[in-house]
Amino acid sequence: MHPLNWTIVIVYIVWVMTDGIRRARGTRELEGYFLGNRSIPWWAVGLSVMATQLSAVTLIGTTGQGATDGMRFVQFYFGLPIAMVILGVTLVPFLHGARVFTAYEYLERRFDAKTRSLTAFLFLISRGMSAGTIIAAPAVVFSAIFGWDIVWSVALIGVPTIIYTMIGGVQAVTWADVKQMVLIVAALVGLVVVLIVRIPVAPDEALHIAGATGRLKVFDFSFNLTNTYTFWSGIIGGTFLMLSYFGTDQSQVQRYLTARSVDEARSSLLMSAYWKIPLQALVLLVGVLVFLFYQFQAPPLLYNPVHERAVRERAAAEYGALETQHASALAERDRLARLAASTGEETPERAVALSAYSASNDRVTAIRDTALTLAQRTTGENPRDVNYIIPRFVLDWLPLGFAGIFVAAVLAAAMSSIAAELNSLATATVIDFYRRWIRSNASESHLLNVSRAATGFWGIFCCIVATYAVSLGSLIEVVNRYGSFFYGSILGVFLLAMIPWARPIGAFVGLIVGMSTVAAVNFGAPQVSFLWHNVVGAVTVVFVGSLLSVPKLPFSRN
Amino acid sequence: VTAPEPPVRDRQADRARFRKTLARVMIAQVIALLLLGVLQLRYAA
Repeated sequence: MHPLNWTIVIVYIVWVMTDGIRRARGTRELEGYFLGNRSIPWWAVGLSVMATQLSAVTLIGTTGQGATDGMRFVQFYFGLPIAMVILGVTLVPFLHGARVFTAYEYLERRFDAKTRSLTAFLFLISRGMSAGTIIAAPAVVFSAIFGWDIVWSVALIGVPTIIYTMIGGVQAVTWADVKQMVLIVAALVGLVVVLIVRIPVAPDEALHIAGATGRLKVFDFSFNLTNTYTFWSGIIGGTFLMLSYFGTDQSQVQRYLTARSVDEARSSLLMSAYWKIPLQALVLLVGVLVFLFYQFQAPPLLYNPVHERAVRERAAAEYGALETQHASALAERDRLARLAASTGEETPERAVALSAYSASNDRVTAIRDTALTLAQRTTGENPRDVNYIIPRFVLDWLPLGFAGIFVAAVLAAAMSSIAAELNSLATATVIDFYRRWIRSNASESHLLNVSRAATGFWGIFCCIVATYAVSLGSLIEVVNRYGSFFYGSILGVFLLAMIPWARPIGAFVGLIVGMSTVAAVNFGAPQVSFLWHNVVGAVTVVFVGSLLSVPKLPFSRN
Repeated sequence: VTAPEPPVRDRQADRARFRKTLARVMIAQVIALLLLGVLQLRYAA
């Protein structure tokens, strides 16, 4: 990468770190360190909520998914506005009004200590591991693209984030999120503008070409429990997932607990309700435009440079033959794409030309699939080629300076998510375990020191998980998979908390039964999409918990 | 433990404000879905 691009990246890192450390003023008490003295304006909280949810995986992986699969992934977010409105009238007033530090603290006040500790423990395990994967995803891509050891990539993302989160607390996290969100949106809009300028046909014609390959098919109204990306999965499963994430996950709850009032907390969540779907559509549109760009410029056969080198060395003859086929298929596709773009709209020639173009695109896709299989066979690894499409495009084709902005935006996306995770992991560790079970009468200054140490501990833990993510791959997958077992069930406990007659025994046993039911569904019907696990978990907990709380039943007495 | 109950007049104002917000979010949602629908109908049908 050009030195100017590196300068932009370094300036960004220094800026975020120094500003974060400056925010340490005013964090001399636990409430200042973890909740910003509940004085952060709603728009900053709203941007922080969005920045936390938007990770580097979104910028690298989701854009790549847009290039290969199109816009249909946006359906995943259709439940989000509904979830935000429901949370605005249910959990937000409960949690904000209870003046708690963590969502789980509220559960002890409503139910008992064991329900609080179990939910907090489940959060620590799942979030600790997932924060590691949030660092690992861009770190692996940076290592492959820039040829660095994975340790350096993890350090580039992890170390500045740990420093500013440790020193500045939630103030640093939130205000860094605001800057990072602006940078991310600017980078995405910049990419769209550059791509529209660089694509050699008119945008309307280009979109017709993308449409011919199915990449602009947004809606799938089929009711299919095995398909994650349908309208109904998004609306029903997505609503429950977003209710779980924004309503019960401390990394999000802590964002809006910093707001000045219940109204401001609601407003901060509603910012996502308005902007998440357009933002996600923009992310996917970048991918679709990169796909269109590569209709008129020869793309690499494999985007992952490490795998490309390995295949060239170890299967040179086979890969060479595929490259020859690929070059000729690309030339034919380029010709047919230009022909389709030049035929008049609504003419029979247009339909014929688009159909011929679509068939030529299928041939290119088939050759690429063969190359991906060859890469997997040769390296013994999943190529995850989709994650390299956008980074390769950025480094190969963007004008000077833009690549630096994009790399800074990827770092910003990673840092904003990790900082919120570290901050919330430290909060749950100190408030739900250390202060609750070990040192309940400790002084503020002692707890503040422990909180900084806890942030540092979780930061190092996440960096270690990220460094060994490739070899820990299956373990992380297991953790994420088991994570989906209890996400919906924890939501069920919070829903139960709003039922006046619900009792502690109902909450605790309901949580165990909910997680067991989701596990049974997962192993008994593995084809069911994980989005439905949240529905099953939440409904089971509410049903079982309500039943066990009926006073006349012998087992419901506490 | 529940959130402190606001006075009745505040609760009424709160409900009215919420209904207005709900309407705005739903309108924004419908507009976003309509735009995505137009994209699909024009280019991918």
